[in-house]
Amino acid sequence: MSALFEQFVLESRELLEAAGAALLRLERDPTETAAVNDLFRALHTLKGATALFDMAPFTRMVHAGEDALMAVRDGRAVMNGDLADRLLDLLDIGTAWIDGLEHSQSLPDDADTRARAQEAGLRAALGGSAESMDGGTPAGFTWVDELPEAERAKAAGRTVTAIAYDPAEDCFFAGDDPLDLCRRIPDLLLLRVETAGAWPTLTDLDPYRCALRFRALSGAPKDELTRLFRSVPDQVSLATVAIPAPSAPVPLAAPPSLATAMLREQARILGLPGSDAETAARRPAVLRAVRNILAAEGRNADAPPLDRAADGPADALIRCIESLADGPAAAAPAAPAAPPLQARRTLRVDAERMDRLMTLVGELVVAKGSLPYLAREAQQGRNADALAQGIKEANGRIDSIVGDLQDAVLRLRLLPLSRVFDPLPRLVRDTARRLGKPVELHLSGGETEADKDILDILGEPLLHLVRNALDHGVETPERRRAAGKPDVATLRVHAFQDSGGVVVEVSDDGAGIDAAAVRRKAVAQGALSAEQAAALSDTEALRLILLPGLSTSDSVSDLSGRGVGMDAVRGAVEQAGGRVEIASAPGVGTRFRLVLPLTMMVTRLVTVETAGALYGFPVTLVTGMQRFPHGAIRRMKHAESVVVQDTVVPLLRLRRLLNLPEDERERSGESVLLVDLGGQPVALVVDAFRERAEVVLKPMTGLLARLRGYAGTAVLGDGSLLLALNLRELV
Amino acid sequence: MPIRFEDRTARFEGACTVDEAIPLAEWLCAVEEPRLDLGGCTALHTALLQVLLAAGRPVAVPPEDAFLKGWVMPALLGPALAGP
Amino acid sequence: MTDRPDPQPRVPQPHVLVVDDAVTVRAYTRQVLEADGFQVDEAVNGIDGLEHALSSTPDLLIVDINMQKMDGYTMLRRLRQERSLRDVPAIMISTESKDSDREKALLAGANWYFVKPVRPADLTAAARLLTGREGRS
Repeated sequence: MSALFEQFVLESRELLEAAGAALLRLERDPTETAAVNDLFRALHTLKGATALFDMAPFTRMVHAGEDALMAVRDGRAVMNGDLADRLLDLLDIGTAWIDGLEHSQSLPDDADTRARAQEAGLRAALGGSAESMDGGTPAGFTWVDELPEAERAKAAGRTVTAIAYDPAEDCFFAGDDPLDLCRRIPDLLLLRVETAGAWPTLTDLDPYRCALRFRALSGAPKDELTRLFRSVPDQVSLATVAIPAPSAPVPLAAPPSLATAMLREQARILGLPGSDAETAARRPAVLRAVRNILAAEGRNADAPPLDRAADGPADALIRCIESLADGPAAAAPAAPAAPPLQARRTLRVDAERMDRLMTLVGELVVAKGSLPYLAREAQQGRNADALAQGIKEANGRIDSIVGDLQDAVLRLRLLPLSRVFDPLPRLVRDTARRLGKPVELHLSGGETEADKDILDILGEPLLHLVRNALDHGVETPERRRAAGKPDVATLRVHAFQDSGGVVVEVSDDGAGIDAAAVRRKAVAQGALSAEQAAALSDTEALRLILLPGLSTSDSVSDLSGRGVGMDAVRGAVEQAGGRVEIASAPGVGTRFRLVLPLTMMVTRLVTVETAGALYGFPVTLVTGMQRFPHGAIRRMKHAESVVVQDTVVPLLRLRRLLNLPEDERERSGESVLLVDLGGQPVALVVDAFRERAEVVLKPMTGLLARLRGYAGTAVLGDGSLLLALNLRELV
Repeated sequence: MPIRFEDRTARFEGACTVDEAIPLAEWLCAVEEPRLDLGGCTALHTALLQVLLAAGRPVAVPPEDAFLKGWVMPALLGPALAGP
Repeated sequence: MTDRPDPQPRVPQPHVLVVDDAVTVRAYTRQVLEADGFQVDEAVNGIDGLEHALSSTPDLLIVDINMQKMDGYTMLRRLRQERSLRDVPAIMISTESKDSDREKALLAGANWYFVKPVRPADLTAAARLLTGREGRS
């Protein structure tokens, strides 16, 4: 896929989304002109983008939408539910097409048919008044646009009257001869004879029933034609339409003719109406354009007459330029074939984050600058202590910068959650409409950020939860009224960040989930024994709906249907290292919470427990885990060591490194983690070994970021917090 | 008579009216390789046109009348007419 | 064919400012023009376009009509009031194919009007002419 095409796909998606959002705003408040304008602009831009590629049906469809909006904007039509539905439909088709284009780079086979159907539908939604469309083709006259160029050639560039004549079947009995009527159309520019329906065979044809219809273009004004067809006003419709000039706007292929056309245009510009100031304002650019055209054409000999006329009266200058346009054309330079277009990749990155990266790289360059000096010192073999000190300092600086760089790069991947919120208003609107349950959606926290991969995973579960909430959580208006609740249900989707990562809450004020019913269901399904079920707390019982066994559609009535697909939600969330929480009160509502890690950059850690907390070390640093009896630990003053494979290895205690209280437990020996710190083996005493974990590390933020020794935090599957340590900084 | 049926040739002359539609249709069904001569036709009733279109037989001699030649013949020559 | 005087000094790399709010269209225009040896600068709307034009004084402007904040007409009209920019040739490009749109563009101060999409060869030919670059490459 070319970079340009990729760009097109990207931009089109954004435009379709923007259009959808504006449309929903507009439907809520049909008087919001800003929304009309946003919507119009999105479609307009999309139309322009589609026109760059060979996808006429797409352009046609979007154009129809644009026309409809123009009608709304100009007050010729009202934005109602029906029109909104059609426009949303159009956006959906557009989105589907973009998806298809991304894969196959072509529109589906039925694209043209669908585009036409959309177009017809929109025109019908606008009330189908024949001359309602601004500049576009009136309803019922789309055939004019569809005429092959050759057929409408006679009318090209003219404003004509289009005639659609559908004779009544029994018109012959009334003495009508439609073809004869057509013969009398003045200034006939086009006549098409068409069949009104499927064409019968000769044997089936009733010659006395008219099966033909006529489409014609005439140069005569509409009034005149109205008079001509006055005997059959019910069978004919007329519209004034502008037929575009042949689609190749100017025969530009050969540059000399373009030069001529451009020169003529410059002369014409000078003759355009306007105040003195206006015409004067146009002159300098015209003069420069003419000079440049002459220069490009190698016609510098023609420059002096132009210079003479330049400051003179307008008509003299116009005549001068016209004569230059008629003048000798230079030899036709062959237009060079455009060389293959270069592919460029783009990545959208917040400028501030990019700046931070740049700053860090700058710091890194500075820090690196001390190394050549140190190398020189080392070569001269001087000043070993100062040298070691210098290297240590440089190492420290570079280390800290590299850490910051890692963090900055990680942050490049963070995107706002609004991305996954975007489809929700539409989903809620459509579902609520379909179910006949008025719902108000409150979205908040869209600015919360999470890793791109997390967003990808979050999308589906979120849609699921929202759909379920509407389908099964929210009651019908009647039931709500009976329960003393307002008719309009409230659905909240709220995102925020907490220590565990990103939290997305979906809460409704619907019927809630009956924990007792869930227990019964689980027992009936054989997932639990009656005793086990009874032993569960309500909160635990609610979690049963996350089990696959309870995801059956017949659970709709007694479980409020919450089981549908909930196991899929849980699966997706847990796969991303997150978890699902459920809270519900019968009659009051339900709240689902998706808790997800901030990023998905998975790090493999060896985890240990020390002083009741969990710590992790990168697997790559750990060379072994071993238990040493107390007797195996040697003490030399304050320094301790053990012998590992005939090597004396310094022994450190994690509690001491972290300034934690000494381990007072009765024990026969120590759990020791063997680590390799860049060639220096170290033995580290911990309280206990735990399993290895693949975690998503979250960089330390705020004050914690300044703490030395910590690489980041991670939330484990059971919700416990783990601190990843950077031993190099601790030792 | 505006349409003269001569053996295998139907000759259209002058203004051909709706009355000819049934005879024309019957003749077209009966004759194996009908030859259509519209040379002298100056007006063709819509009913006749649709019979000709349904028959789909080639026109041996096109009409000289400008309107018929310019606007109606293309329909007769063209591929099966497209529906709406 | 008349005798050919010395060509005017050639502008080494004419600088074109493309003003359009559609990323794809800008990218397309840029690719086409850069491939033909033009130096291309982009602006995303009329105001941005004016600012770019004022700071860099391009040799040619390629301006879209329908843009947020400030449309192409307004931008060109303002630009024609600036001493340093009043003579910079301008091409307007829009999806509108009506004569009245062309007219409005020329009235606003454009020197040429193209209906989107423009074939690459047409765009480069027009750009070469309006910047005085010799057509023979």
